[in-house]
Amino acid sequence: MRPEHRLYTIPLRLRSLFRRAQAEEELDDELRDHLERKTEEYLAKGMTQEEARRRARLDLGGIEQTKEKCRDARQVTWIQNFVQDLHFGLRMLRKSPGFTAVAILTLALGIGANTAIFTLLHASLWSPLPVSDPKEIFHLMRSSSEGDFAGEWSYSYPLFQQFSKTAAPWGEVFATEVVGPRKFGLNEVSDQRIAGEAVSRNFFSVLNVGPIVGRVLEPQDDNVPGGNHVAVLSYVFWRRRFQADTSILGKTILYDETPYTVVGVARPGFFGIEPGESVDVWVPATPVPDPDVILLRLLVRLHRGVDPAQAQAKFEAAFRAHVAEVLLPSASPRFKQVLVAQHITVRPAASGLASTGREYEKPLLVLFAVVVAVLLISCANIANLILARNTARHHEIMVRLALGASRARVAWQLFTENFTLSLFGAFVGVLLSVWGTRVLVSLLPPSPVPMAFNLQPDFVVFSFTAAVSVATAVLFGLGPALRAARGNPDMSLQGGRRVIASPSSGRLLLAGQLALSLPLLVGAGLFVETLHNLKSIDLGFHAEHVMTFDLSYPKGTSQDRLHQACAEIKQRLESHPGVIVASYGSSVYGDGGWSTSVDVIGNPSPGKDNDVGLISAGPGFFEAIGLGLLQGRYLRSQDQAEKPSVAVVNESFARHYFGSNSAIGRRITLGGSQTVREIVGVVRDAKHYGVRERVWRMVYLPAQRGDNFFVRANLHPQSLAGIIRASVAASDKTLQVQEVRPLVTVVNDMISQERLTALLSSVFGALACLIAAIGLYGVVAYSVSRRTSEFGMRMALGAQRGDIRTLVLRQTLAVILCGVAIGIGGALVVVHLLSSAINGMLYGIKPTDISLFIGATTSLVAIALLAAFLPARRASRVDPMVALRYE
Amino acid sequence: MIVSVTEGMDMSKPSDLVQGTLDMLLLKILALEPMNGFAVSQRLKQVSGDVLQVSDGSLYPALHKLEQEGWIAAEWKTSEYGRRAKYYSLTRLGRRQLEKEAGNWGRLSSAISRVIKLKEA
Repeated sequence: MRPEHRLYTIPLRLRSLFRRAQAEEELDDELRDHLERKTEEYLAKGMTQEEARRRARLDLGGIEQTKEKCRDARQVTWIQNFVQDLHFGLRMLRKSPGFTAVAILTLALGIGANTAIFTLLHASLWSPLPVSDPKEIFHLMRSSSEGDFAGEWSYSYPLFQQFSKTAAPWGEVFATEVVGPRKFGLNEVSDQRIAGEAVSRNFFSVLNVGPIVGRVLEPQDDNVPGGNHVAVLSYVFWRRRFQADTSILGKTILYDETPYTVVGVARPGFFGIEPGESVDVWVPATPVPDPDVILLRLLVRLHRGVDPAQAQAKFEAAFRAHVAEVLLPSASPRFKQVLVAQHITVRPAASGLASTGREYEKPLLVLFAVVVAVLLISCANIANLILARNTARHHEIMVRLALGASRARVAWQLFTENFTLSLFGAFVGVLLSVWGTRVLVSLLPPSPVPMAFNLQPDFVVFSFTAAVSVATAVLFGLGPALRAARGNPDMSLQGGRRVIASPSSGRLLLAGQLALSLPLLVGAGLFVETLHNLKSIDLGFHAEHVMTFDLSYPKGTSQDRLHQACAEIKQRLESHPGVIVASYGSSVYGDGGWSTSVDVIGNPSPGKDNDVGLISAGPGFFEAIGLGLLQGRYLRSQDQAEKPSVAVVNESFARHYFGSNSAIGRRITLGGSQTVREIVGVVRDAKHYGVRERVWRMVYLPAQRGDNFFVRANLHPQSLAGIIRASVAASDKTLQVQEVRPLVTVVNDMISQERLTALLSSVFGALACLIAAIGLYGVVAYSVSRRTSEFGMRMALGAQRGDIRTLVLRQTLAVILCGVAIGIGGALVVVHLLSSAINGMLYGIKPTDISLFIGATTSLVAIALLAAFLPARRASRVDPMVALRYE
Repeated sequence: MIVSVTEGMDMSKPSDLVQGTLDMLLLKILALEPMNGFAVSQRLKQVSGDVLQVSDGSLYPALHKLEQEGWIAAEWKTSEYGRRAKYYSLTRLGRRQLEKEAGNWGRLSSAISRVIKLKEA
């Protein structure tokens, strides 16, 4: 049919749809008119009035049927049917509020959890950058996958220049430093921190991001006098801080305590290239010619049609050349190994650097799989409920079939009802997910720059949810609907209400639910055990009751003044009752830290590897973090000034270089310097670089100042934080206190991934079991209630209560065992996947350990039996007389 | 599987007519002048000399379908006896459709008559 033809008929169709009453009335009038004329015609032929009317009606072949055919001819009936079905479905759902509430709640939990995880994955990993042609953007990842320095590395400025030259014919390389909190002020430095990002000058031109006012950074900025000190504001920051006032252009701001001239504001919608971080101010990165200073992260926009694999080969070649010519000659043996292990990967970065997203990708994908399984279990559950309900509605359905409804029509009506359920579930689920994503994000450890993921559900998220709800409706609703419309009305109606529906599909669904629940339980168990293993690792120091904070001070503050300030703050803090000891030093946990090579005087180096970890420690440092002394003494406040210089080493150091001999009194030099240090103490081994890292050989040096403070106190964290702020303010007004938090929190944040995975997989595992148990209970209870008369008969014939209970339990146990057997297979697959493909998610778990399997299986069977026992007990209490009169 | 009761006889099918020709006949009749459903049935009987019997039960759905296709248009008029009645008339699209179907019919029927007139050996 031609398109204009369709167009022409649209008004008619719409009229029949929306002005249904009028169309119906007209149809009535038309047929009545016809009947009257026909009757007149027959009257004229000499028939009686009655006979004429009868013949006229007969000719028409039934008024209602003809009407229906006319309606069909208008071809809008399916929409009318749908609306009608919707009305009917809603009425049916209202009639059984208990069923409706359980179904909607179960669906909402399943769909909501799916939407929440999808939203996070979308926001942190998948949504494209708000720039033109984001698919052309790639991240140049410099990383090694093994050894102590596994992970991503940054680039030096010379390497950036080298890469730019390499890529010149087929792409443009651009660079950005890590987004960090920077001090910000208008006329003087204030407490305020903003998210600042130093970028290469071609950053905006390559991303094709323009200004809304003024200009952005330009490649030519190098040639302008003072070109280094220009700043571009983000649109959001400009509105928030300057109320979108254009007079800010040309004015000077203090960024990181340095004056910059504001030259423009980037266009709205551009937040930078790191999802989750909304940059406030961009400044040009300072070119540092030293190849050992690595601050830059590199990205490239490849010209259209350039093969990323070829680009990767070219970058890798350039990198190898740079390593060989520039870096290797001056590298320590250990660092040489690290450099050789590093490679360049050209990673698609249409969604930006996505550091947070990639960090949490594995746990999020695992959780995604978990919530999909939970949704499947919910679907099976609801399908079972519906099957039971349809059996109860069998009579109604058969009557409708007998009255002439087609099977397709009945099935479609039942499906519409189920679809309505899933729509409600999706609606509530989206509401839940909005709350759920926020909870999920709040479970992540705080980052220096406040996380700013765009968690508003957008078109993609809504499409996902819509697809999920249609899929769930098909999964749980189509089967039961088709099944219900399959019966034979003649036989059913003749046979009265006693319909024996085969329960096999219901049992299959039950077994499926249990089979899905078991892998979830085992997976959750693995994650909980991993978390437990990680938490029970001895870090070597005692983080409990220790508060840590960072001290920040204006640039150019003299060393003497800092020494004084550190000593004074320590003293002030310790003068508070409840504070046991306060000290300072370099970061003790997780922040990477420094390493250098060591020479032990009078000792031929045992082996090539002489790299040691370095930590500077103020007086009372070891006492503050609770690091036990094995030999000699701790560091004292006089150590810095006295000669000879001293150091404390750890157990591993002492064992490695001195074996069973005492380390006290031995002398070392560090990093090839002339200063000879005497070892005055040996402390226990501590893991300073993360729970999963090995223990390094450590050297602790006395320090007179430190940016990190540690306060051991028997005080409530909140009041201690107040004391800390007051003490610092009293010592020196120019100092600022930052990141006041318990050391335990710092430690815990290092295993936040594992904590998140363990927590959520347990919650969803428990939820899955609960849903499966409810399903089991429901199905058994229903079948028991249907078999009441059978049980009554059995008891009347001599069966004991115990026999009935055993009968019900035995039949259910078969289903449970069948489900669990399949589940064990699934769980084995899960264990295999988690311990191999997604390595690194488990810790300290032996794949051969079957106690977890036994535990999970036993608890699942126990829960299932309990769910079956309650209705079984009820069955056994049936009074035979009552039961037999039941029908 | 037991056949459902609805899958019985379909009474709307004009068994006397070649499928699809009812549409063409109705279009042709309405091409002469606008008229109501009753008149259409009378005229059909009249012009075909009572050979073509179309049951009233099939006529109205067919008319509604033609209207839906946009080939005929309907309006309510007061008839000669002062009665309100629904009058159908051919649209421009309907006229084009009639020409097409009449052409097809002409080709089909002449082909069939050529076959029928073949002399038996």
